[in-house]
Amino acid sequence: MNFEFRQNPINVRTALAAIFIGTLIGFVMVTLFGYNPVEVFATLLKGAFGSAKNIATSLRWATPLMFTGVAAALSFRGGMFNFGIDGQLYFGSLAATIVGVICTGVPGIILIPLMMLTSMVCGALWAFIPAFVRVKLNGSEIVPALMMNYVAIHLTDYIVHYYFLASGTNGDSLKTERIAEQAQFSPLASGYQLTGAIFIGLFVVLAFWWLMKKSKLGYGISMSGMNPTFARYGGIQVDRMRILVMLLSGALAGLGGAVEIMSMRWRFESGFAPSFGNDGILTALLGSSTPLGTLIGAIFMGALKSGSLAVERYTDVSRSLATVIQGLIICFVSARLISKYIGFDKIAENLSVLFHFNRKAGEKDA
Amino acid sequence: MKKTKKWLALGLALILTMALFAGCGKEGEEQGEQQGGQEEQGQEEKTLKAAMITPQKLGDDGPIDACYAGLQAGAKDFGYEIKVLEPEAGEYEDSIRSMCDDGYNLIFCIFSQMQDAVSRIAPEYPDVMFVQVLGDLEMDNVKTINYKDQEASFLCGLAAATMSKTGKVAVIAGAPVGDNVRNIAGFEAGAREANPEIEVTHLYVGSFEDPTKGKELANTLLDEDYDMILQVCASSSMGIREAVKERGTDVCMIGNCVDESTAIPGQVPFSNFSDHNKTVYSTMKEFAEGKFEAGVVNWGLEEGMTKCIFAEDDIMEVPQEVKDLVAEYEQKIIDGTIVPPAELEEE
Amino acid sequence: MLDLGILGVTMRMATPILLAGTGTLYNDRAGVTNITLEGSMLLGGFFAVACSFFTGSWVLAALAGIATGIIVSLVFYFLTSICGGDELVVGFSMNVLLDGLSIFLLKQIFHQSGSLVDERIVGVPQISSEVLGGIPIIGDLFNGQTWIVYFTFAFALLTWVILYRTPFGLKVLACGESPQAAATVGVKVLRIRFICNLIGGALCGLAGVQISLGFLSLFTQGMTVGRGFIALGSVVFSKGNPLRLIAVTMFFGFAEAMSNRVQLMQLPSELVLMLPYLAVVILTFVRFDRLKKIKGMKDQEAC
Repeated sequence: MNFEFRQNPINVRTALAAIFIGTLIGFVMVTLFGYNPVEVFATLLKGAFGSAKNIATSLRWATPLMFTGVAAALSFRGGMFNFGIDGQLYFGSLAATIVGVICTGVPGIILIPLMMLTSMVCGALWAFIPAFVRVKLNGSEIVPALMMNYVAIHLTDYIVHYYFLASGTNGDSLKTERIAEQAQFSPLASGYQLTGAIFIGLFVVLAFWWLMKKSKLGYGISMSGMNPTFARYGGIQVDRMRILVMLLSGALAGLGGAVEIMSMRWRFESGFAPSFGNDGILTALLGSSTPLGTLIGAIFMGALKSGSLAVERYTDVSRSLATVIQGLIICFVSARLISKYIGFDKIAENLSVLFHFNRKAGEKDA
Repeated sequence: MKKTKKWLALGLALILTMALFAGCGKEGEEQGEQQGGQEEQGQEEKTLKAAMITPQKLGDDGPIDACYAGLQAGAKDFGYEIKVLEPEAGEYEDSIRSMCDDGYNLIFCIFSQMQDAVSRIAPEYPDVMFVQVLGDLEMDNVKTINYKDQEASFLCGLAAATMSKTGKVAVIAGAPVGDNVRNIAGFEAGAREANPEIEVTHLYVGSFEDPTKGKELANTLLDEDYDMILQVCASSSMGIREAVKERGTDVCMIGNCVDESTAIPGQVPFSNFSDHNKTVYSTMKEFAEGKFEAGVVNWGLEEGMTKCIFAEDDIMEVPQEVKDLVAEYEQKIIDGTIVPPAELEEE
Repeated sequence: MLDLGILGVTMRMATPILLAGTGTLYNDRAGVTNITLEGSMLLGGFFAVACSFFTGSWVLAALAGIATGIIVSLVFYFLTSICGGDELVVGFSMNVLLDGLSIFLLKQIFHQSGSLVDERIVGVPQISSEVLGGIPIIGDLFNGQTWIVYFTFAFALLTWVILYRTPFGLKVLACGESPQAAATVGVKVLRIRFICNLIGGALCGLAGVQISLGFLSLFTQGMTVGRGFIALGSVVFSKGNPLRLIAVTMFFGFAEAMSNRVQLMQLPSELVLMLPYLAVVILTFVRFDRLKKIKGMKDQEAC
């Protein structure tokens, strides 16, 4: 099976067309079940941008996706498919939480960077295993990375349950104690869920931009991602780049988890990050793995999440409508011929190849 | 030059995004204000709005459904407007906050996962009353409700050990968390009380919503000749039901939270009952009558909120001596001569 | 603890993995990277339960599951081969999409969130016979299983014959090894891949049926819990050989069966639940290590 992954660049038009088609199908689905699609989508929009509070909520959900989105984008640029972001996030954030719980006497200015560093190191460690499998054992990184998500979720549960369980009834639902007070971010404004975490997120996106556009390392990463053979001729150590990319990606995933904990949860709890990893991958795919694209993708996905919560609250439509739309959009972003205006004759040609001729078959694979 | 251009582009894009948001925001605020106005008008009659926020999904035929039934009954009798939200882990704060903003004034937060979110939001909305089911929050506008699960499960253990033919009884719990542990501890102590020789064990599904695993675990136990199984795992118990049903009438399941005797007729002799339905209903009643009191309560056999409830005779006949034994011990627990343990013995 | 009863459980747990794995094996050998297993299984399971609910017939339900799998694979094929989508990206997003879709439909059709349980849902019946049960080991393995289990193992063996002993199988292999060469000698590459895709989809759908109606008779959201990905891993490890695939999936089935048994020893449940997934990760190491040493030999064998 061919797990070599190379992301095709996506232009804005394709993305917009994909969003349009995805939403349209969502419309049809809602209509089919007898709801008023305009009402449902108005609720979705209102939930995402309806008030200052809702915008804050959208940005709050966009924040972790900036980390996981950049983590995914970085791995894509380096030619790796980091499927294990969730696991890296869980493992990294648990490590950071443990530091935050134990070092109560350390001043915040030291403790916060210390927690971030711990999460990054542990996230990177978790990402090293699939990278090792890919580079040294010549296997695919996808399957071990995926499986390590499940391993991480159960393993963190175990560590929390047997070593760091909160006292009292808080421990009833597999949580650690709260991290030291000086490491807890407070909301930017009372009643809003937005914290300083978003600035860290923006900084990460900026750093990603700098890495890819300005640094030599970034050039090496994108070369080994786009064309490994060529990169090898150019004197780039592709294997080293691949490992590095995965480590960085894992570190960012771990950092995202730690920031989420410091800003929102203040403690590690079982299942605190609902599908941040997968959403991050979707974000990167939507944003064509570019820094700006990832940022916009993250905001879009955050808004969709916030909107879908509103849809669930105010209508009878399931919130997974948003998940379906997300999936559809990425499908269509990737299936470029649909989203391009001129693609239909090509589609027809491909169909005719399938059913009548095999003339083009060889060409297509070449 | 190139650099500046890029920065310019980035800046422009950001500004545009902001402008977009700001535009939408204004529009929305206006709408929000309008809504707010309507609400104020309505508030003169003091609308009763109750929301229930649950981390586990409805349809478990157990605690969550029982709470919902209570909520519906309360809505019918006292004229509440009700809403149920089923957020995923991590979204609790969002959900509770939005319910507060929408003018819901009584909010039921089911299970201890919610505690953190409640403890943070409750001070921000002093007019909203919160009911935390399971927990230890002590706040001015929070009522925390706990059950002494171990008391009822002690009786269940007692009855199960008496009725077991193979001398092996077991608990399948969702996860090693507070109320589950209380149930297990009570059950094991009760079983040993009835028959010191009894073999009793407990397993964890690891999830409250994984019936596949529940069924496999139940089958594993049944293969080992365990013939009485107490389930404490919400939706995962659907799998246990199937396993017990397929095995035939030699084995029994013990229901949890609700009277499950009709779920598998003839194979659920009694259930480890805790009255979530009544909890929710009576709280709604108190609130409607203005008698709502914050604070921590801990309900058990004495208050009738937990009990070992037997199947109706036409569904499954339970020997009278078992019933008598349970009644005898029930009195002993209420009198305080026996205190069932709330924590597991270290092995 | 290690009585022979565990063999039956192993078979039962291995079946969906093997079934989905066999389906994906065709894709693999034909050079298609289809990772929608998880999604197909989930949606297949959902429609099987829905069909069973409405018609009360497990035969129709199984057909519905298979049909769902085929439709999913058709959509996948359309998006990738016809519309030029990237197989990994489309596969990944379809998994997300189908997971969401199953929850959406559950809520919109049945007004349930979480799980669908009803008296009207009929499970796939288990076949048990006195004669079969009397035979040692074989009886433990096969007695009291659903017909899907028999079908799965028979089909996996048949797949070996199809791949290595029939013209169709050789064409499949050719498509995977060298599509250009295959096209030059007149193999209709796209059509072969299309057929493999359909087989893969159908088997994944059936795997979903085994999970929702074979193990149980209900549907819960996300009830495949990563089995699709375990199947994907098995295909990768077995290097596309059906016989090796049977062995690998049996190993995972055994790991799952063991994880139930081991709990009786009061080990921490979290660690036990981790077992099957950890087994996959560990296997990655074991297999590739060995492969590197005797890579030369393997290559010759493949020729």
